[in-house]
Amino acid sequence: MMDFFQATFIPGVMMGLALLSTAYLYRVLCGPTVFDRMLGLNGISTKVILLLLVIGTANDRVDMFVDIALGYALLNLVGSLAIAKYLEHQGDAINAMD
Amino acid sequence: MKPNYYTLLALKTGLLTLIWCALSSPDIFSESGLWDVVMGAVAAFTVAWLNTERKGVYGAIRVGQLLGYCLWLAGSIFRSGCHLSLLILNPRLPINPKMIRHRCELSNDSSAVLLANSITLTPGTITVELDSHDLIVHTIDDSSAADVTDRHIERKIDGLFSTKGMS
Amino acid sequence: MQWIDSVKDPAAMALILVGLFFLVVAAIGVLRLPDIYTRCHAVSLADSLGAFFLLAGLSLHASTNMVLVKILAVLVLLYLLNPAIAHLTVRAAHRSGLKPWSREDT
Repeated sequence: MMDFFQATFIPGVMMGLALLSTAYLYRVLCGPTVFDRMLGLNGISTKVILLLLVIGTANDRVDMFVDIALGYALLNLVGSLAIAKYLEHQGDAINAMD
Repeated sequence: MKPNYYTLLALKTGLLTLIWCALSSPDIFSESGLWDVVMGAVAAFTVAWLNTERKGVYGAIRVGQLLGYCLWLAGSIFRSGCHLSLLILNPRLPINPKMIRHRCELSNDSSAVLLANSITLTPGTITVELDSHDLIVHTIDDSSAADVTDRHIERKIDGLFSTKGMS
Repeated sequence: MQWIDSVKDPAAMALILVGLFFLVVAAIGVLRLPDIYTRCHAVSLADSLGAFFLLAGLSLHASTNMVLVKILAVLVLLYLLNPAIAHLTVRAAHRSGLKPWSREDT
């Protein structure tokens, strides 16, 4: 018999995090500039890192999911770094609006 | 604490080995677990050796004060985070965003980087450009702008590193 | 030591709820605020306070010390990397000449 924390509360937190990332998804899909899309992607990545740890708590295997979360956080930095370096040299804001 | 080349190397190796042990959680009482720790220490030493300059000039760091500064920064993050949440939840959205050019009065690069990082970590202020000692900071309202312009973060950082640059 | 076990789960739930509150506020801010620079403030709120309280709650519920250390490692990594990402995004926007929204314009 599982207790209230793991049976009810943690799945609720998981659903809440998934719902929250739709707000960032709106920014990715409809953001006026390309930088808004980047920001939305970064926000979703943070939510996914938190979600991985919550899933680990739900399954009592946090030690396994933490490693995936660490890798995801590092990958997020590298991706953002590459995109930001690429966009920096565009020069004008007209190119950024699309 | 004023590290030279060898203490810095030992410090980096120890820290990386500790992180290795925390992530792989080996069973040190069995033979294979002991082997794990040894291999981790060798890898940590290699990384530390490749990333420490023999001829570098190392300034002193005040470790105790640095920890105290981190605690103070956590409190300050909490305060300005609550302030920013009230701003966002307010129906009239009383924000007044501004770009501020701020000239910091710090003697070395490590302190300037720590200042820029602290400003970005605090909700409500973001460092946009850091050009040796000129910062361009974007602030969301007047009270978070005052956090930057009244220089109390700088006064706290000023004593942490000595005058020599770390690099 | 029986009372610690009985108080641990409610305390963890309270911390996680506080973290979720900050995350919700940040999501509202991302939808409401007028331009990229101000939205970045909202995302940094989610990254610093929301993640801190949520991970504090999870580590309170953690069964062994090793799990606690690993969750703290994720927290430290988030605190080191997220300011860098926010700074990179805003700097790219600034260098490509995006004008910040201000109250006088509208």
